[in-house]
Amino acid sequence: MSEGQGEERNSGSRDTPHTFTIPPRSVASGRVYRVQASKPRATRLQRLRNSTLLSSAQLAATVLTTTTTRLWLFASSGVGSHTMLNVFRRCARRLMSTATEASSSAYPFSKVAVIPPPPPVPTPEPVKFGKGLMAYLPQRTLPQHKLDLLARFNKRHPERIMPGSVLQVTTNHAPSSFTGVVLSIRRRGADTSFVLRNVINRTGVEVQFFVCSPHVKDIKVLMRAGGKGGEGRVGRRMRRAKLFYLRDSPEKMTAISAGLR
Amino acid sequence: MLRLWSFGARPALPRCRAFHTTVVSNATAEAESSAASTSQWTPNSVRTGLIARKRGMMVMWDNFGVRFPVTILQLENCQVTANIKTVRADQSEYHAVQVAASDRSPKNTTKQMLGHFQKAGVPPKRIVKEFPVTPDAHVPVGTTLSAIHFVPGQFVDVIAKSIGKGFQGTMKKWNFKGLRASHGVSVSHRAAGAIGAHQDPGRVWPGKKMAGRMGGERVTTQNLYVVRVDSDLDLIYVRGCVPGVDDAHVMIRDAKKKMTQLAQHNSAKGFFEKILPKGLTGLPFPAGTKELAKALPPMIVAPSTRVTDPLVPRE
Repeated sequence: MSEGQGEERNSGSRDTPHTFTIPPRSVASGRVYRVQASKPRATRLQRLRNSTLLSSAQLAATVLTTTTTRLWLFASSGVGSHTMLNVFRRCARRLMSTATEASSSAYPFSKVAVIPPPPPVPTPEPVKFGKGLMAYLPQRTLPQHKLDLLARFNKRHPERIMPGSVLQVTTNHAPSSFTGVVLSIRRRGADTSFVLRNVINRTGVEVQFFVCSPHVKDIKVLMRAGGKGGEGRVGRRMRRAKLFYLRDSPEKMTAISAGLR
Repeated sequence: MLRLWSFGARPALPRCRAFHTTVVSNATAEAESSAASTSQWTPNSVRTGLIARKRGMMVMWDNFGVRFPVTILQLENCQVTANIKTVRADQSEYHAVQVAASDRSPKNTTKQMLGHFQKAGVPPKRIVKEFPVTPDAHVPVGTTLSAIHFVPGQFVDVIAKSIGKGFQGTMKKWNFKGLRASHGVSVSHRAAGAIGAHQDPGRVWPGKKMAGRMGGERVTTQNLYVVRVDSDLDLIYVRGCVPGVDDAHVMIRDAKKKMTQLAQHNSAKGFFEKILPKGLTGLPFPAGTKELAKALPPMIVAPSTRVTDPLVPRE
């Protein structure tokens, strides 16, 4: 194990066959890269594995307490039978399931990769063959509060947001809130967005907000455009999906804001 | 420019395959002798690639809230069918790993291909391609490759057949400017115009840009950043666009310019921190297999490469 004094090592990794070790600068390079040729002293984990069979709970406890836990991950590629090793893997994986920065023990190939928590919904079988994959992916990658926001833009939701409603969007950065009439809704799954128009200091201002963007904190309906259910006052039902004609009619914009007051 | 630092360490990567007598050898014996536990990625190694299907595009937001597009690539039972070693007339060697993907019904596969797949011990496949590798990067035949082969944070090249555009005119195909819309131009607003000089040379040069079939040819998009890897569904999320239609087969390999070349050059020059992109400590070698995917987390995300918050004004 001590192949050379003062050898630099990657932070957290130790004698792992899949990690590229940065060699020290002092070595005169004929061969810059060094192969882990010598077999290291049997670690505590390996000695345990070779000894009598322990229960999986005891093994899991040993795995977590020992410092060389990373070693079990890399004796892979189907060489030999590792039934005990699979028990380790399953226990340790269940125990470290929260979203944490990937230390080398979880993912040895990158120091900065992030491991998100597993999705709550189990994967349907056809998705593994590509059927319905793109429609399923927002559920897998987005947090639940974003999925709830997205659902309100569906055409079939009982409290759906329709063009002509007046919304107030709260954002994380300046301006912290923006109010306006919904001119258009662009439905693209995770890329769904809408345009709000308002007249501020006699200047028409339009802002496009992406529903799943981390900047959008909250969407509040101040006045809904016709239809059933939902909070806020009721306005006119618009006979169009895209209300771009409002850009040329300031009187209709005034009527909407009067209806709000 | 004489690059002294590259003389000794340059590997014998194939540049031409003039005499390609394919000697397909099952390198299982070779691969087992240099077992997976001792073969490690070196800066002079070139790993195999994968074959995937382009499923579509989506959007993601990084930790600063900046929106960027991603393309979803899904592996469909991608397996190694052969390890190729060809010795050319000048005794140099060409090494490659042959990979196949997308299972196919035996009744639709020719007898010749059925025999080939039976020899490899894999079900019949729709697409078979090979990736040039270095001799240490051979993978045992029959191995099922996984999306875990690529590390989030690395760069890849994606190769696919571009969308066919049919017979197109010179304006679309070669960005010609056409002629004026008015001022007397008759019936030739989108025409190519003149195609040559006069008596000298008195002919049209070969290769003259003219109208013709556009698209439907092999295109490589280079240096795409791998954002996320999902080994449960065998998905690779790459940032940006990829050639081809949805559900088309694509070949993915480590980027030649930002991974392979930089690793070789920086290790020869002694810049050890620059061998791999920032944050990466290694690559699955010789390949990321299904067994390795079971030992690692099912989903891994790369952080954004941005340093400053674009929504905070600079001082």
